[in-house]
Amino acid sequence: MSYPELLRVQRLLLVFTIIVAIPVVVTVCVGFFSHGTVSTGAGAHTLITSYSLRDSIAEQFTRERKSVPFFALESIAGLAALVIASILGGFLANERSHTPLAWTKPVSRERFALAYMGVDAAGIVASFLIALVLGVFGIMWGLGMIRFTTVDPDVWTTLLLVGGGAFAYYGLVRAASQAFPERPSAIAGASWPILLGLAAMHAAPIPTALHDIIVALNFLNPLAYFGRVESNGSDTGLLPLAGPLRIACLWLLAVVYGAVAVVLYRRAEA
Amino acid sequence: MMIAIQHLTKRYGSQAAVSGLDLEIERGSICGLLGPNGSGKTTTFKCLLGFTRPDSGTLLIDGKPLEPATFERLSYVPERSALYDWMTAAQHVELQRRSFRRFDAARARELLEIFRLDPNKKTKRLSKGQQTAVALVLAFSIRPDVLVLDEPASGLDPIFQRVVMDLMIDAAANGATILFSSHQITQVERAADHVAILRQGKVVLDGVVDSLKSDEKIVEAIFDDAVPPVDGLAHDVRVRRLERSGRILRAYVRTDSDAIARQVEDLHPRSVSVLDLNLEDIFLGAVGPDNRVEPFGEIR
Repeated sequence: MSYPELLRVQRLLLVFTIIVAIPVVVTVCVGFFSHGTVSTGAGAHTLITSYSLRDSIAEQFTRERKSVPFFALESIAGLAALVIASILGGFLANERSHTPLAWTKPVSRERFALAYMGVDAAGIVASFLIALVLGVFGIMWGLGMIRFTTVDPDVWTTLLLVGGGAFAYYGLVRAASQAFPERPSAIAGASWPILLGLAAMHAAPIPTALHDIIVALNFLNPLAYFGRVESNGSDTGLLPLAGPLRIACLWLLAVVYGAVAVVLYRRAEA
Repeated sequence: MMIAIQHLTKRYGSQAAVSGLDLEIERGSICGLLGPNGSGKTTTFKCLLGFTRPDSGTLLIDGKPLEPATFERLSYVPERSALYDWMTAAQHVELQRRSFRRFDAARARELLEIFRLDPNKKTKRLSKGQQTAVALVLAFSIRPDVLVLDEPASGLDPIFQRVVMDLMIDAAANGATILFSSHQITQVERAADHVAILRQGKVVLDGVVDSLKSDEKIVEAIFDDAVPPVDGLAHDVRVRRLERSGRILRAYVRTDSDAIARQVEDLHPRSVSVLDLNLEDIFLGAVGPDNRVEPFGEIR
């Protein structure tokens, strides 16, 4: 019954993989085949050494004892998953024009919607993995930076945060596009400036009453929950919530938005 | 009764699309739903299939209200294509296979061949008629007990229209109950054993086709000159209506048509014939202004 959604997600992931692969290929080519030379010594003892970009980056990281924290890579992949989540969020409302096919299957509307959302959730996870493994690691490998990656204790909290954020964003777009099913794609597209704008207004110099409203609205805004959650308890974030509570609220938001989307789908009429 | 609709009312705003509609269809019967545009046919289908909630009324399929499991043995073909235009016919068939336990793959292949469909062609590249054919393949491939078909031959050429009618008759012969709408009365006349005519959201005529046809006869007389005075016939209780068009006189006779024909013969027409009513006569009689057909200038 969710076969069309499976095909849609497959197509979307294929396009996504191609888009992700392009910078990886470019980076690998540049990393391996872009050479420079370094001269050391003077006069007859001058030594000219040829360096690839990879070598020079490795040399710089080693010299300066730099590292790349894994949570940063997760965050980049999480951002890509967020984009995919916003696109997938509008798909169920697109079923409206296929109602005679979709609603004449021997399953309840709730089960139908949940099956669709299950496929989408798998698509979001897959997009995160593609972005992380193919995209981020591919670029890191192309630049020779993989070995400088450090796994810190924030890996799991970051994973929970980006996962919750992607699912909450998906649920929000899904619920909104279900409430206004005429323009699901427009809702998915408009969600970015609206939610980013709402988060940005949090810190804007605006009257207190308006600021309070913005703060209240930002509790419903998945993007407002992002920020560093560190295992040592020191976090940075827009909302006045401690790290673990912030993550829990974000996942709760994802569940609530998902439930609203299912209820609206069940009540929809053709 | 396989399909029972009782006192169905559905309003859109202040407009009643269907108003107190009653319809019962027996198991194994083919019921043709006729009516002019906006008479409530599609709304009736939508309510029956749960696409929209009725304001009042009861809808039962095989004695039970609609539930998800009902669709395991119910197929619907909409008037307008609901197929995914980016999917192929084969992928639509695969969707059915994954959705229905009763799906019959051999039947689906057979139907694709009957309609000469390329299973690997994307739906958006198919003509309207071919899209209708794909929808019919999906509907018939689960061997349903109940078929609800909204204009099932829409866009099909006469050869495939005949195929659709044959599929319906074959399915009904195997016990399926079919409710279908069509603007082509000849199709309904060919396939349906039961007809319901809708007008302004109400059933205005409902019955077995043969019985409706035999309810009245037409006595048609052609004269060499103008039709002579027919006062006697005009006051005859057996004659429901008289129509005159130039040199043609038509009498719609409830009973004793042979006696009326003899009476007309006394007016010395060139020819007199007693004709059965066809479904078009019945339809136009039911949905025409004030239920009366007046194409020729009516005497009474």
